[in-house]
Amino acid sequence: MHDKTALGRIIAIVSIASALALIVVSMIVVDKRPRTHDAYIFAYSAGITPEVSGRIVAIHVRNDQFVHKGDVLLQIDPEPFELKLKQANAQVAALQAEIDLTGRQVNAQGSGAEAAAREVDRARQQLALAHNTLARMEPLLAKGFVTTQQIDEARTNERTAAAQLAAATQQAAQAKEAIGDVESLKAQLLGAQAAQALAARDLRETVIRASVDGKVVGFDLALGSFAVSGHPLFTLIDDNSWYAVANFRETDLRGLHVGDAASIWVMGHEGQPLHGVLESLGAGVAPAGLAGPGLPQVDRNLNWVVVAQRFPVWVHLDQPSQPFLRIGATASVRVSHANAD
Amino acid sequence: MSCLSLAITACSASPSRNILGSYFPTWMVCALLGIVFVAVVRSVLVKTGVDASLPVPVIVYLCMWTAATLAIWLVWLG
Repeated sequence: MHDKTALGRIIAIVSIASALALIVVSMIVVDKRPRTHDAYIFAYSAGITPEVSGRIVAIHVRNDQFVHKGDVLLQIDPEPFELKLKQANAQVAALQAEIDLTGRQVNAQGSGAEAAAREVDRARQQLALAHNTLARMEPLLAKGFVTTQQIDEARTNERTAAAQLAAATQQAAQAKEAIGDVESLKAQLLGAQAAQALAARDLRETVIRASVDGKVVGFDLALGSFAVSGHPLFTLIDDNSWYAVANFRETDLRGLHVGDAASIWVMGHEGQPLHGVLESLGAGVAPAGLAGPGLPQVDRNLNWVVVAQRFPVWVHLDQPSQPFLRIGATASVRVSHANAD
Repeated sequence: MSCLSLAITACSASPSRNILGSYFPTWMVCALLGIVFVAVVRSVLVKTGVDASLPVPVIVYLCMWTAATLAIWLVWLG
C-alpha cells in the first residue's frame, strides 16, 4: 500500500513535469518553424490573346496539354492579312516607280538650268564685245574715220546685248528654281514601308504561339470561333513559376525571411512533400472592409475576437512541374530556418 | 535540449490528414492517440491498484494526455 502511494506520487510528478516540459518544447518548435494550413498552390499564367481578329482555322492544343515556348497553339485565317500585305507591297512598289520617274524629270530640269546658265555666259560675252566695239569706234568719230550712223549702230548693239544678258540671267534663275525634287515622295515611301511592315507583322500574328513552357487551361474554342483582337482566348500556366502562397499570421512574419527553406504538402499528395524557398513576404493586403488598389484579399478566418491578419508568403517551388500541382490546390507550408544558400 | 533536437530531426509528415474527404490537422490525430494512450495507462493502473492512490487523478491524467499528445506530435511532425 505504501509502495503504491509512492508510485502514484511518482507517476503524478512525472506526468505533470513532462506535460509542462513538452508544452515549452512545442512552443519553441512552433516558433522556430512557423507553419500554416492556410496555403494554396499558385503559378503565373499568361492570358493567350490574339493581336489580330479573325476566324480560327486550326487548333493545335486542348486542355491540360503541355506546350513548349514557341509551339503553335492556334492559326487565325491568314487570307485577309496576306491580301493586306500584297496591297502594302503594291503601294511601296508604286511609290518606288514614281520616285524613279520623278527623278528622271528632275535630272532633265537640271540639264535645262545648266543650258540657261551657259546662255547667260554667251550673252555676257556678247555684251563685252559690243561694249569694246563702241569704245574703239568713239575716238575715230572726231577724225572722220567712222560715221555717226555707225556709232549709233554700235551703241544700239551694246544696249541690245545688255538687255539680252538681263533676260538670259532671269531665265537661268527661273530654270534653276523650277528644278523639282522627290523628297515628298520619299516621305510617302517611308509611310508605305511602315504600313508594309505592319501588314507583315499582322500576318505573322495570325499564328498564335506559346509565350512560355506551360499547360493549357480554360480552352473552350471550336474550329471557326472568331478571335477578337485584345480578348483573351484561354490561359497558359507558366510551368517554371509554381508557388505555394501561404497566409501566415502577422505575428509569425517576424520569424520569416526571404531565402528561408520551406516544406510544402499538397493536399491529397501528402506522401510527396515539396521543397521551396521563401521569395516574398507579402508587402500588403487589402485592409478588412476596404477595397484596396489591386491588393490581395486575405480573410481573417474568425471575427468574434480580433484575429490576426494573414499575409500571403510566396514560396518558390524547387521542383516545379509536378503533375499534381494545380492553381488553387490546398497546401500546408512549414518554414525551417536553415537558409537556402 | 536533446529532446528539442530530436524533435527537429524526426519529422516529415504532412501537417494535415485527409479523413473522409476533409483535411484535419494532424495534431487532432495526435490528441486522439494521446487519449488512447491515457486510456490504456489508466486501465493498467486500475488493475494494479495504483489508480486509487493517485493524488488529484483528474490533473494527472490530463497532464498525461497533454504530454502524450505533444510527444507524438513532436516526433511525428516537429
